[in-house]
Amino acid sequence: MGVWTYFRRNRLAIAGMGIVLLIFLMAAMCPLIVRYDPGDVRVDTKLIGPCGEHPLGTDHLGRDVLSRMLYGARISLSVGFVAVGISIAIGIFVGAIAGYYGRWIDAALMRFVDVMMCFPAFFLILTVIALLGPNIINVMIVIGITSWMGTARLVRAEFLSLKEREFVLATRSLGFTDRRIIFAHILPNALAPVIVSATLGVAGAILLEAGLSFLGFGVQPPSPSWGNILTEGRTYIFDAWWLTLFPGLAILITVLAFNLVGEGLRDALDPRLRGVRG
Amino acid sequence: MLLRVCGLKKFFPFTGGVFGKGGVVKAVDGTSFEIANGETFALVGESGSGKTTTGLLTLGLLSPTAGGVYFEGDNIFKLNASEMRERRRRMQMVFQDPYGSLNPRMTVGKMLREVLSFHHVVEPDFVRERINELLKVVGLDSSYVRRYPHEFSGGERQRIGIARAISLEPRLIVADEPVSALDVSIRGQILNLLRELQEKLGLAYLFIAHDLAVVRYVSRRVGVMYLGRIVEEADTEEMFARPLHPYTRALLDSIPVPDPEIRNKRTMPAGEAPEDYEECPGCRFYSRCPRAERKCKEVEPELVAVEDNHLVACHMASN
Repeated sequence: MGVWTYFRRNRLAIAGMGIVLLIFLMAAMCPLIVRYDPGDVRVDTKLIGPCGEHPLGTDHLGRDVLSRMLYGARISLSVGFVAVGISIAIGIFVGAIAGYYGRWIDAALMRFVDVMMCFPAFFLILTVIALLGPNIINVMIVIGITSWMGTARLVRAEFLSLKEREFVLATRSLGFTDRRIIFAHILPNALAPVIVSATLGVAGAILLEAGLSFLGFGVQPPSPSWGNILTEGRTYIFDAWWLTLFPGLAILITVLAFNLVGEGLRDALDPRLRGVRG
Repeated sequence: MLLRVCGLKKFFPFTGGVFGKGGVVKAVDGTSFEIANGETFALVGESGSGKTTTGLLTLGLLSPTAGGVYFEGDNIFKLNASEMRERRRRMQMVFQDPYGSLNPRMTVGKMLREVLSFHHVVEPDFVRERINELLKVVGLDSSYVRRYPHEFSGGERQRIGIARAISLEPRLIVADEPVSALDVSIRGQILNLLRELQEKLGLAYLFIAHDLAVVRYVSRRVGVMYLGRIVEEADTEEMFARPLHPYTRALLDSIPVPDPEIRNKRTMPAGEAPEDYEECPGCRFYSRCPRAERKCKEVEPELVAVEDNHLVACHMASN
């Protein structure tokens, strides 16, 4: 009843959603907003502070920081969504199978989840990227396959309780196949917590990508991403503060906004989960 | 015979925790009965007597510990998945809880459409027509197809559940306490609907209830279950007129009489069904029976015909 009504009452969540939409719009329409190409090197205008011509200044190669930030937003958001898409897909599949079939299948899959959770994800990702080579596709996939465990547990828990409901017994008495019962009947009833965890997951993935790019394992220059703008600006932190402040702020605000939306959704979709960390 | 249930047993194992000892719950312990085409057989008993488990076993939704269910001559537990799916079309279920038995995220139309097209009951072009027809048969307006289950009352939901069950054109419907979750004022309507459908479609019912008064209205034949076994089986009127098993008598005496002048003589002894009855070899009703004798404690009575069509499992019944 009235998810939207409940969500609307949460002012922070609404603010978060506004920010997310704004970032989306700006990333989508960046060619219309900026006057400079993000790869446009002009040595004569290097390291200019924020001014009318360059609202966020220029970097050590004279490239417009605003332009690089907006194109970087595209990359950050794509990484966030694609990585979470992969992680949600794996999580739903594993959780649904484990929860529906139970017994040894459940035990085996959940122990596998436990094992996956034991790895320090960030270093695992660094290793894999070091082996496979850093490019944006690899980053998305690797973030995806190292972050599905939470979703799997959530989905499994939902399935455990839903499969005991009479409507599931009814679908069995109608002779439906397991696949239909799992994906067409139980899953739609288990999606609320998944949506919440996906929203929070986007924030996590963006942060992870920024971290990887900062260390040089993520998106490779000259392609802009918030992480590598930050790392390139690090050398000039005392002379050109705008090179580190703005990408840092962008990461902070985006991650915060996604978290606010996620927590708002959680409260609105499922009062039982209130106050539980995602 | 449309349905023959033979010596059906279902034991649920349980573990006793760290210190306790495990064991089994004998939910169904040797139940047999038959249902002919177009006939109704009712199972009554208090909660925990195994009647719902029997219903689920009959449809093959649980696998039994022992025994068989012969539907149209074939033991359903010996069928493979696709044969079973084919059989499912002819045996359906109506559930007790009209609030829990419909998928809350599916509209009525989508629900029926899915059933009809999954089993190819009618040609795709006629699905919509068939849905309207089904809704009409169960007394619902065809404009309801766009609505979700939470927009209906309990009685209407039960009608939707019935429409779903008959959409596959079954021969047998297991109705597991189909009216016990409904308002008393609605019960009659649903029972009438079930009877009407039986006449129209030639359905056979396995009607599960805990209320003998309801059973009298729908069923020609009735079996009384106690702790997983049928203790008495007879035609309904015969059962009401001459109950032979002390447990049946107690059940009949517990039907409220709408007359304050008539004192209800309660023959039901205090207490509930014992949980550890398996410890003793005798009659499972021994501990609560007002007529129990020594023999009852030592030998378990068999279900035998004492008269035509009247079976009872009690040592004292023939005297």
